[in-house]
Amino acid sequence: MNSFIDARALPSGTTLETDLLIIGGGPAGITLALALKDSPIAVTLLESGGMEFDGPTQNLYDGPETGTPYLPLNGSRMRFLGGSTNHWGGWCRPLEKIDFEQRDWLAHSGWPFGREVLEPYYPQAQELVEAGPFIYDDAPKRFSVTTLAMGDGGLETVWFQFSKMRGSVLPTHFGERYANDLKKIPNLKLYTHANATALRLTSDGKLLKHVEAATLSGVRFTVVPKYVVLGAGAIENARLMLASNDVMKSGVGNANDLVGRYFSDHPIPGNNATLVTFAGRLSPFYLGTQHAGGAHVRAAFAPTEKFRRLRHVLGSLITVDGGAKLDSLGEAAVQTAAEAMGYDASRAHAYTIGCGFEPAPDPGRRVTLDAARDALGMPRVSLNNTISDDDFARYRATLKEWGRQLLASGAGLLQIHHSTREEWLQGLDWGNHHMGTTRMHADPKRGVTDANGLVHGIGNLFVSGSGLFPTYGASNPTMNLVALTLRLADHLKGLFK
Amino acid sequence: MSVTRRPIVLSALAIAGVGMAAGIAVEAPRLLRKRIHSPYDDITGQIPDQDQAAKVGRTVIASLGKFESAKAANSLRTRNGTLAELAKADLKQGKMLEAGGWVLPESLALACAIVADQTEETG
Repeated sequence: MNSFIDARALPSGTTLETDLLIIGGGPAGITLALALKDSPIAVTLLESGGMEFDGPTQNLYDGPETGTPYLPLNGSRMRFLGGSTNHWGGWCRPLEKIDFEQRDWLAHSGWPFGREVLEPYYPQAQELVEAGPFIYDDAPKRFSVTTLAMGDGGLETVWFQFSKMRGSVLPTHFGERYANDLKKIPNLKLYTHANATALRLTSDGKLLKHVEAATLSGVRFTVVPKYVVLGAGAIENARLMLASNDVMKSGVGNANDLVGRYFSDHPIPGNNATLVTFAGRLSPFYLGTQHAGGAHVRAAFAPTEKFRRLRHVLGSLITVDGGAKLDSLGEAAVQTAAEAMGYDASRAHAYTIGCGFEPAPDPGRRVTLDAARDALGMPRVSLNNTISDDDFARYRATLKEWGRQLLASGAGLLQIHHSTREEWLQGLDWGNHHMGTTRMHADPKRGVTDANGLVHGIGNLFVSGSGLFPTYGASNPTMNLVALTLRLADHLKGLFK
Repeated sequence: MSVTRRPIVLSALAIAGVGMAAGIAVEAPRLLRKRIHSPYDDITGQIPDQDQAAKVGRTVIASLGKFESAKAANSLRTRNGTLAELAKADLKQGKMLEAGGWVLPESLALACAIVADQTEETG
């Protein structure tokens, strides 16, 4: 079994040669290294952190923000082996078919391929995230559960599954979980405390020549690879590309001013609605994680594909957060509506509703470089966050349809809590789901990389992770980015044949 | 010690009297409202609990800004049907209004608004 190599012990000026360099030991980097374990490809992986959290290393993430308030940049991700899986909630759900489509009613939408291309990789991704058997929306066929009968309409019950690391109540922390597997890979050299600081291109800008790296202890070294995969997360990948601006003055792969743009996350407006069910309590599957069918599952509500097309709304995953007490208006609304419609609401029960939803792609929501520099001398990253009134309106339209459907079917009644932008923004949280800064598109004028994650115009530089997502869906990105990385692994194996 | 019945009876009567007065004070407006007819009885009469409907209706009026019972009643009457039938049709067609965020069929929300409007006028 190999050991990880602490880059702080390398002599400064060391040059390492490798077939493939992976920058970043998060879910993408670790997935890629694991997927290439039986290949003849010599892989080097640079991880900024070690096996544990370290304050000075984490502080490399710090940076200013403008626009719509967002999470602190040094608190929204994790910089040690396993990356942001070290603080994820374990929520898993594959993206929907419609999430991949170019929609003429949604600007900048569409992946360069459909869900069918990612489909073969989901089972292995599911294994890596340790979310149990692949059940999801087949849940009602796999075990006994009474879902809320809502009749025909724009919303349906959908299912999450949850990552659970073996022997732990926590989701799978990729570093801790896969460290021993990584150490068993003979053709992998994994360097800890090793930060990529610059991507150096050939003078014509068509190939990546070498990567400069450094440790916080002052060691500087160089890696000369045949191919490179950026797997440092959507924000850091963009930062590294933008900061490497000696040959391409606007940054690596940024000839069309797209690197860092279209950043996204899932807004989470807490307690945004009250659901009243007329026929008593909801199944516990809606209220929290339950163990069934060999998996940890939870039911939620989401707009159907048909409704999304009809009303031009984007994805949302609506969860039942807990019980609620109705005020006098709520009691009056429930009694009046039920009596007028001839429904029995004598067993009515109220719940608070939460949600994570998908914002539209926005080129102005972007990562740029700040004038300040970090301890390694790299420009800090700056984030301009946005969320439009249309984003809120689309989710609100989904809620309104749900209210219509609930009453039409006699299932219940819905109260929407927010109307104005100020109301939506109050207490708005985000998912720590960084996406979209290096989006894929076949056209270099519309995407940073091609469908394989290869940076347009540079023959040996790939990007992995959810920064590739051109449109985001509402599903949590981790399992989806793992599936996308497995696809990249197959592509890379083909290149080395 | 002898106990006379007179003070006890008087006390009981006094307590009962206070209770009745309080009950009348609370219930009189409601009882009065139920006895007073409005030009919209055909609509409002289909809602069993007028007080609860009025609570809902007040928030509907607040969200609409401008509201006239006569116009609302007219729009409901021209559609021919019971309030339940109109509400079901609204739900089918997606014609909804909100009362303090509660998503209701337009016809039911308007009927509640009429109840509230008439309560204000007569109460």
